[in-house]
Amino acid sequence: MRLRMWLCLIAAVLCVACAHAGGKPALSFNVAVPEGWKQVDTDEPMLFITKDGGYKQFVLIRERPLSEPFHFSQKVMHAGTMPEEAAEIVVHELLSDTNIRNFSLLENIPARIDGRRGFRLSFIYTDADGFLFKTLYFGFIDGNRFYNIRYAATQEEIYQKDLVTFEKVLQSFKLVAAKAP
Amino acid sequence: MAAFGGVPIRRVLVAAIAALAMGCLCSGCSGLPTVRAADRAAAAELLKTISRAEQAAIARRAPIYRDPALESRLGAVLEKLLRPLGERPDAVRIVLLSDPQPDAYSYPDGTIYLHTGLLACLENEAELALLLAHELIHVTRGHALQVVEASLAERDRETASEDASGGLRLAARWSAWMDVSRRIHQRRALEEEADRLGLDLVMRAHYDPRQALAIFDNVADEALGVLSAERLAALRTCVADRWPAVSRQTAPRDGFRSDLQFLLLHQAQNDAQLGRWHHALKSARRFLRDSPDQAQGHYLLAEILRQRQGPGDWDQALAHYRESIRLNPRCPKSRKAAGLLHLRQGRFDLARAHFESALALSPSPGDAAYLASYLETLPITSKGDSL
Repeated sequence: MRLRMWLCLIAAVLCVACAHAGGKPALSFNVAVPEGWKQVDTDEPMLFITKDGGYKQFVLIRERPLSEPFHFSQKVMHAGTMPEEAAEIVVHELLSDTNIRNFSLLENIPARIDGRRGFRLSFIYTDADGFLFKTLYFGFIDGNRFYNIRYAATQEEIYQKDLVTFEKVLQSFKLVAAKAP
Repeated sequence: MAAFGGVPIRRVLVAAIAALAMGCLCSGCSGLPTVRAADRAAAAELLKTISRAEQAAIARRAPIYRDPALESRLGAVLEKLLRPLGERPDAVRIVLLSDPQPDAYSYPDGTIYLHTGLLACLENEAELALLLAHELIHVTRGHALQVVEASLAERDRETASEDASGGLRLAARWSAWMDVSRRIHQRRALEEEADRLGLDLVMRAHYDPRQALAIFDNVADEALGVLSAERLAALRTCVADRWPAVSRQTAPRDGFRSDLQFLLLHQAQNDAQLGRWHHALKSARRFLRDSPDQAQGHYLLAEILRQRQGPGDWDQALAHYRESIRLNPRCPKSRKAAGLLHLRQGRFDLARAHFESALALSPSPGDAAYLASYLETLPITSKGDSL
């Protein structure tokens, strides 16, 4: 019994230590989470929300420093990278992603996100578990960070049904502060 | 011959050891074939299981590359090699995988996998023949089975030593180490056998072995890394010893390179996607070497240079966009890309001229949207550059 107490105490101390040592960095954007959608906690600098679970539909908003190479293609964006070039890098990363199969790009057009010039991709792919996702992907560069806002669903009817909700999320997206490099 | 043949045996071996470990851990389970006895049937059954699983994984991982002209060429070379072996033409099949890594490997059922990344390195049919001959020797000599049998025998010895008293454990460990060492030598010996007999087969199929050995100069550096200098020297000696006797045989100009043209474009695109600029440029330049009047080759080379953004790359890219536009004035893509480079370099009038001409050529809806967005935001200047 005493041993169990000690173990619990050590675990609690470790948890607190971890939380202080690292933890999730503050996000530099705000969005309105739709009613009925849940935020899933992650340690990454991103926001992941879903209504019925990630294998039904999700919205993922992520920010990353430009200096960070993309995982599979090792490509990097720069402050002067044009939206079309940024879209090209994202597409190449998706094509190189070994967890993604049957990637098919449906659309690649310019877009405005929170008043900034960016791009909008639409694509489908199969994940490593064989689930087919249809995705809308918005991206833009601001300062030394790349932001992407994506909406994905595994079934066409779910995709269509929650598309309006996603558009509201997109409209609500706002950068809150310039981040230090 | 690391680029071809080395990997599959390793894969089979690793999988065999994993399967054996599983067998040891759950000796009562019946999911695996009986692997306790190191008999040939058990090894063959185990190998079949491993091969099936691996090939299913390959099918999930890499898409098949389709190119009728190249497939026909591969079939013809294979047939030439199978004839001296006395094998039926359907004993072996080749699967071309769209994979930029320079690799080739075979399975005991006679399937030879060739990566586009390796084929893109080849310069002549004799090199292809050597590559296929090496894999054919692995298949026909049952090399994978030999490796699995050796692993089974090793496991049996380890199992026996587990029963021994503690005093014998050190000896068992030493024995295990010896087995590992022997296994590596065995694998190397198998590779050398595939090299030697493969080269012999190439000569019997009337290919010039000197041309065939050029493969080692042409495959990428990383693929050559595992090939020891001794192995290559041994092959060269083998050719020097034997080739004079058959030196009257000459390889005809075989048209192999023209069959590789589409694959080179495909490979250059794949490598560019992965940011493998050196390889992408190599494939695109090889394409243009044989097809200098193909606008798509100039466009692709320019695209790679534009994306790489090295010193002087954009100037070179612009030159190739210009050549692409000259060869195919109706293609909007080169005009749009050239405009983008001018825009990035602040030459707004030139950028505008290119964007407008691209827009007039009915680009795709996506390209049209980007062109419109560029034109919308371009400042009007009086500066006039010449393209």
